[in-house]
Amino acid sequence: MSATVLEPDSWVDLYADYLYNYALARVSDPEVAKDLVQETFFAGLRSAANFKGNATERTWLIAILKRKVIDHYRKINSIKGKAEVRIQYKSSNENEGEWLEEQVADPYSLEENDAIENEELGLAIQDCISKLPKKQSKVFTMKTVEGLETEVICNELGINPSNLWVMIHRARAALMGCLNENWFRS
Amino acid sequence: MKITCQEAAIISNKKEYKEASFKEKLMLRFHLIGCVLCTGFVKKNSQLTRLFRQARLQYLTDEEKDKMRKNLFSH
Repeated sequence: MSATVLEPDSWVDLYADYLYNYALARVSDPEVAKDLVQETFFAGLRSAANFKGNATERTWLIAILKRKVIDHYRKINSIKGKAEVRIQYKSSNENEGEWLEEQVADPYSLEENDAIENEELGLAIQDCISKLPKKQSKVFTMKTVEGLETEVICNELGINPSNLWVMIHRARAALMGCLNENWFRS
Repeated sequence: MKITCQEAAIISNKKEYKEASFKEKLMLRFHLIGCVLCTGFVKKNSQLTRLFRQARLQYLTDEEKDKMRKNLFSH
């Protein structure tokens, strides 16, 4: 396996959106998320010499971003940042027999799984979009994510509507092929 | 009134963005009666739209990215 070489010049193009969504899922403030991504790039550049080349660039940047998210919660001194697990065994008689097993999260509760699943889905979709040809992914995200009008996109990119629909079609077909079948259960 | 599968697919995509005309929708309907393959595609296509909505993807604008790039290399 050849070692990965870092190419900071293309970081913003390749990973900014991916890192941004990852951060946004954790801090839920767009401005903070943006700052964290920027800081991640800075830190990446600073410590590029330490990169050993046995992870992909993106994995490495995500690892840095994770630290940045934790730092962020420490800095704002939030409850999350101070989190530690404390479990008290109840001493009163009426709660006798309530052991640890009964205090863990309800495995049948769907809510928190939804959030995790949606995040995984988001990252899977982004992975697939990043594999599209550049122009296709541009047209597709303008249309689907930004929700722009066909006319606006055509004007901006200098294409005609039938070009646009052909590109949208190719992009959607490619995404259907790329996204794991598991996502398509009805 | 007859359309090809390629045309049907394009209409299906337009439909996903609510941009298919009434006539187009009608033509698609007719096409789907006799075409199992396209029926499958149309179904999967609308699931794809739903997945996108569910994932709530956010993108940075080109300006934001430019700014990031500038910040990064002015250091």
